[in-house]
Amino acid sequence: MRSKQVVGEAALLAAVSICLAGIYNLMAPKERSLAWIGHYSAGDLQPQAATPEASASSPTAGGSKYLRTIAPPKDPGLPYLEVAGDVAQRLQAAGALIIDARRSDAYERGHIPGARSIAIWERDADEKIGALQKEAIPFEQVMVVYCSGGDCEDSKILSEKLGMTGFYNIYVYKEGFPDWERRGLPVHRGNTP
Amino acid sequence: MSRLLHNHWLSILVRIALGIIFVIAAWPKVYDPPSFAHMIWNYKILPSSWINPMAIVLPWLEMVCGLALVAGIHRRGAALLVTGMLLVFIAALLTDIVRDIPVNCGCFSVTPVQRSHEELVAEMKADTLRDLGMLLMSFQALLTRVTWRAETL
Repeated sequence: MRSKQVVGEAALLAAVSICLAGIYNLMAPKERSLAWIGHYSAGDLQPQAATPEASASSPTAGGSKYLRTIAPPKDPGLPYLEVAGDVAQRLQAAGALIIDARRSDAYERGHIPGARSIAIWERDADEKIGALQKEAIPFEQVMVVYCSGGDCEDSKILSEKLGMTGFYNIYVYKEGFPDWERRGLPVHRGNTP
Repeated sequence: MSRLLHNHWLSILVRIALGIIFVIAAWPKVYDPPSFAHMIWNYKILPSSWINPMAIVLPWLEMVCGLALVAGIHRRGAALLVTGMLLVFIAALLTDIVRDIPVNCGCFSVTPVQRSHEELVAEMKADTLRDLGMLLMSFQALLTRVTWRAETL
């Protein structure tokens, strides 16, 4: 009887916790809340898009011809290719789509000029990936994804998600934003690209 | 020894201390669930689809149980949940120590700290020992009443 009472108390406390968690997650700003189901590995997602052959028809696909010329050759079967800072810089200068996978507060403190923020751990990450598709950005668009370098794997997780969405010219800037700053390259502050 | 363990004042002290520790541990995670989700992901234990529900609910479970222990409301139920959580935390840390996956614990902070492989593993071992100490406290909070009842009935 006593143990039943203890279990009952525990169940009540757990129920209260779940309710509070749900309410807080609903009320909290996007950068401090989560989708109830997150997708953080390629196995969670279903490919939605075309193969390279199927989507290469657009004449303006993937940015300028020059951009496609300087982009290192990448196996389309792999979700991404890791590149060093000098390659990332050249791709950025040539007009590649730059994506910042770090948290939005880090993005606001400083990011690569022109970079879009898709903070992989925040609630609106999937929404922002969906926005890329709504803008009809071609799947062959050259993209450079970065995070904080070092052990940071956010850029890889995001690249896998983008890969499963259909984009296949994705380059991960391995050393990330700290390397960009170390090189003394321009930095944009604020919440706009 | 037994009398000391079931000492009324010691029980109150242990319960309140454990509650305060859990409230302090919960706060950064309640405030920033995305960072906590990232920490859980780093452990590479849970399936991807479990990470967010865990990151949303677990901090509140810690907070509610901590407050319940401090206030003495449903304290044995809270102690049971705290015991369960500590067992899970210890199992998670030990699993990654054995698999040689160094992680920031995410126990009291959700800000990743850059440390070497060896430093992180040493820290995980220390975290496991600390959790084992807290597990003893939670057992004390959980079982005291049962023993008291056995003695008085």
